[in-house]
Amino acid sequence: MSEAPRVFDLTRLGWGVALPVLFLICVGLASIRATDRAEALADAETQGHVAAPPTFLAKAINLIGERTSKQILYTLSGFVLFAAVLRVGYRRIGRFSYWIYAVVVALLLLLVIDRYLVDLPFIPEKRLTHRWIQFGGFTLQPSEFMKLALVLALAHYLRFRSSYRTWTGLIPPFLLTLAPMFLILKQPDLGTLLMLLPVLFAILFVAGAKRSHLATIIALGLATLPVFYIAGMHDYQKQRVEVLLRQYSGDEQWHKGPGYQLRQSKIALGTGGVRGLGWGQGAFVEFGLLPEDQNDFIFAIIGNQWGFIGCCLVILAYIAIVVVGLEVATVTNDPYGRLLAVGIVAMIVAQALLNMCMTIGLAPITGMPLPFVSSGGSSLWTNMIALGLLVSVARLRPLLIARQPFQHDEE
Amino acid sequence: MFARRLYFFAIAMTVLAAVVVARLVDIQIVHAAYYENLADRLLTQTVINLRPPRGDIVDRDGRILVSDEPTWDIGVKYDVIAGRREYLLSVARQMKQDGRLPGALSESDAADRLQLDVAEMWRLLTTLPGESAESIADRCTAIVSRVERIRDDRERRTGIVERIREEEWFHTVVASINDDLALKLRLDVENRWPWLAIIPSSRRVAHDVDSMVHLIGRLGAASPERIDKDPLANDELRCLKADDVCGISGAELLGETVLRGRRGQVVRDFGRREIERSEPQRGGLLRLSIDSDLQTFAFEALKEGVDASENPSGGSVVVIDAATREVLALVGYPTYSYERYREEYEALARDTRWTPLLFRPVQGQYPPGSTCKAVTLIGGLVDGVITPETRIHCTGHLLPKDTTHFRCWIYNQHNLTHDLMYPNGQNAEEAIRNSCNIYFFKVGEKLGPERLCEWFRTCGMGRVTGSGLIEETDAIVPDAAYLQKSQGRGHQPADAWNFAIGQGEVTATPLQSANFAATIATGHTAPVRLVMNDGFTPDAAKDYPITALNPAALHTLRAGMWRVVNEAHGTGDYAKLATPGYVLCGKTGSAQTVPRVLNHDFIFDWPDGRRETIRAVNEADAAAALHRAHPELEAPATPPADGTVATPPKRPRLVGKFAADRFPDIGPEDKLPSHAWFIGFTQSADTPRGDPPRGRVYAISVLIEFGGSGGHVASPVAKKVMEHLLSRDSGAQ
Repeated sequence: MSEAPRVFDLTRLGWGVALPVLFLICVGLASIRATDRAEALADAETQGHVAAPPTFLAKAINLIGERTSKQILYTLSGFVLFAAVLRVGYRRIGRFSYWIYAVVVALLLLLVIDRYLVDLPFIPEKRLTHRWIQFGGFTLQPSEFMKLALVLALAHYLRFRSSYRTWTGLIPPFLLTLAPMFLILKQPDLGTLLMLLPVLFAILFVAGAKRSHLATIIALGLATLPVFYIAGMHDYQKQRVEVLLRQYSGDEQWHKGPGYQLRQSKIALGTGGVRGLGWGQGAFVEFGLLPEDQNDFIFAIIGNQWGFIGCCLVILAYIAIVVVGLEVATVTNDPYGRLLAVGIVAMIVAQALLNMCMTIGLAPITGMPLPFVSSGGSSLWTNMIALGLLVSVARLRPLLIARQPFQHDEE
Repeated sequence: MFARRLYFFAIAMTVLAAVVVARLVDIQIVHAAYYENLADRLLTQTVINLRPPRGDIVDRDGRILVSDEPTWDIGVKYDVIAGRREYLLSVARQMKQDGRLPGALSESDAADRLQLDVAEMWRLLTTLPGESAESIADRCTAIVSRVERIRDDRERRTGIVERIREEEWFHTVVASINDDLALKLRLDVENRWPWLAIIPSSRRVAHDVDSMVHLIGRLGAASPERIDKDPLANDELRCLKADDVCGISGAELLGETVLRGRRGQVVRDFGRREIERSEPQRGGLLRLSIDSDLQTFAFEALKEGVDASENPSGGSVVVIDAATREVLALVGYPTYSYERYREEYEALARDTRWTPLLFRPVQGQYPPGSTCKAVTLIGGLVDGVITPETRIHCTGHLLPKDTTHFRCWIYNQHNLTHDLMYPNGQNAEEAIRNSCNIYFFKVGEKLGPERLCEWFRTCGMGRVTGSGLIEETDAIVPDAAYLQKSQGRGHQPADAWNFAIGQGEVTATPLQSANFAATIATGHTAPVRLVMNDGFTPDAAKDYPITALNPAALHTLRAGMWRVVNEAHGTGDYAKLATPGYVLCGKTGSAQTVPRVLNHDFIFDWPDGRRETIRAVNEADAAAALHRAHPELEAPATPPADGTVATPPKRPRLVGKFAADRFPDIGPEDKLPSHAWFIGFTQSADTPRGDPPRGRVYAISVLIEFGGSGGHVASPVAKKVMEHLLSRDSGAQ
């Protein structure tokens, strides 16, 4: 710790998480590039008017594709964030855990204020939701950052405690989670909201909360689901559940209406077969037949182009992140680092799995990107910062002369 | 423990991943072929439907009544309708490239120039015949809102925000322009203005159908209910889809399944290349039983008859071929213009004086009056309450001490009784000939109201005649159930007197009456036939009971009806035919009725006690007039922003309505007006009196609203129509 480490002086474990992530980013960029071409063509056909004479930059953007260039920009800035986090180190950042949590909650509060009280100029309403804060040309989605902020706050709160092994001790961590969940519910953004729960449970479970407690809470949660479905869900949310349940319905009208997205997605995967159609090949890519093919449904496009093999490689990459990330948690002695690593892995992989599940018709469709792969800045930056923290944990292994943390007696 | 929990966590994640992989195996390997197949079917092709022309409606001789004719529409590009400048910019750029606009011009200036052209185009469109700035603007607003609705739907459904097909289209702004104008526009401006297109199209054209606009019916947009209940829903190429038009009334609706064509389809792949094409097929001919020559003649004759009557209001003539029950003429008067219906609809709907939208022959319900005595006679004879020779005295008034109610018409008009001519009373034939009320009061009294109603039904009243027209009404046979429901009472003794002479609650349509005349001629009831296409039988006709009536009773009735027309001083002797070889047998009727209410006085009470009376044809109009008179009522009823309790707006309340103007405008002491009726049938002159008719047997009913005496007003019209029909060389057969 005395000598300042160079930024990319990674340990074996550091590379172990960074390489799968690199792979995912490349797959994502390639898919975005493939679907970008069709859009550029379609634009040229219909709109056909770019006001300014083409500059070099405009030509380059036209060549690469608008969304792809944007995503490259996000990726590069993501690397900068990653490097910065690595340079600062997770321990120094960790001191500000509560502050970060507070700032992000404040941003969420702004969104809620905009929806219910004052119409703030920098918060646009898109599709009847208030999820984004706009600064000039780009937008931020605070709820994406909330996931990471929650990991930081939970890890910070729990690191030296064992109170959560009692019922009352579970209250603060749950409060930390439920408060932002409530705010996100008001945006509304059901997908992101639900992603906070795996983080909480993973951290509590690994930290050693009593299994009986967690199981009871989960059971209670599941028991209230039907009530929530009947009373708490909007019609369009219920419809998404219905989409899942009716995916094998023979009703063609249904598949042309609400079931359209899911069936298109499954057709994209199915036509990909084992080996896929190849990069940039096929009707889905050529004609943009799959809505949201660069965001929430990018996994279907991956399956369409690179087939079952491509899908399996992507899944393997996530499993690698799980395995290596948990190894990082095992190796480190720092209680904060441990919980941080577990939380980050849970955050990334749970979201990846849920995204895939909705693409293949195993979970209701909720707007949620595939980490590191889908286009979009907020998500990528959050994940890159998280990756930076994880690698930082892997690199900085403080030597503690103490018993191994969280070695409770098994209940 | 920590390590073990991490281990559990990793296992859990891997298991979930394995589930995903398993599902991928299912989709991508096991069912790959299924999805391939789906993709072929759904993804690589788009289908464009080509609208088929609708079939023609023709009369019994094949004369075309309405048809789809090719015409031209003026279409304008959606971007221009929506007023999007980007489109003009892109056109400007293209025109500069082509050299149609000077290259030195900046794009924005060029677009300004095009904007002037666009303005010029809108001006030109508003000057076209029948168009105005408002009509064009209304249509444009409708187009924009429709396209935006489609786009919003799609966005909500799929989350995609992009240009939709409809935004690339030319939308019809002016429909059905003539060939000359189309040619001129094509030459003059279509090239100069790339946002304007002259689109081949078709329109429904009526050929000289003034006398049968009601019968022809109208087309309208297919409503969701119609699409749901469409009998051809299972035929992909013939089923109704949103945006289609279909028949909504008259023969257009009746013959919908015949008339509707088969759409053509153009199948394209995603590169917009055409893979497959099938041409649209014109719908089938709908052949009506109507004889359009007779229909036109009857219309003119009816018009004359109505206009010459004391209270011109309207009327109906129906002619049926008795043997086949084919309807040869189904005439109502007045009618409206087929072409100007849309523009004139508001006025037509409010015209309570003439009610031109009423399809009188099938929709109009009138008390049948004395024509109903035919039913009473059959009932009386068959039930044995009288014999043909039973003689009944005419005392002028039924009740010995009451000279104002239940009187015979002859006492009413001339203060005489039939007993002056028939000192021993009249027998059945004579009672029909003279239409003696007293005779039928007494027969009805013996039958009783319940039995009379049964006889009405037996003779085909109180049910649609099976034409299948949606407009057709059952009319009313006032049996006990009906009276209970409508008036909360059972039959009373006086009902029998009323019903026996076709007064009181009993009503009939002109078509029912004509069909009843045909029933008298042929001796059995039967449904009418309006469509001649093979195998075309409306459900109403399938269910129609066919009942033979007692031949002996009919013999007496027919003999009486012969004498009505063919004996001097018979009640219908104005109808005696001049055609050699043929005679008309008939029965007249003068059915007393209450005047038609033209409008109401609507009484509104204001909260402060003021009272206001507004005269209007309906409640909606009255409310509209009230709002016009008091603009403050239009103020929105939103609660004040300062959180105080909103004061309830002072709105007047509708507290009552009273009939105001009536037609005919009679005083309280005046005699009630009467509808003039004549029903009858023709037969060759050599038919023995009372026997089943021989030769060409046509049944007819004539009704002239508020016309007064059936013998004087309706009979001449029947005579004229029948003479025309019988003397015409071509005939109907």
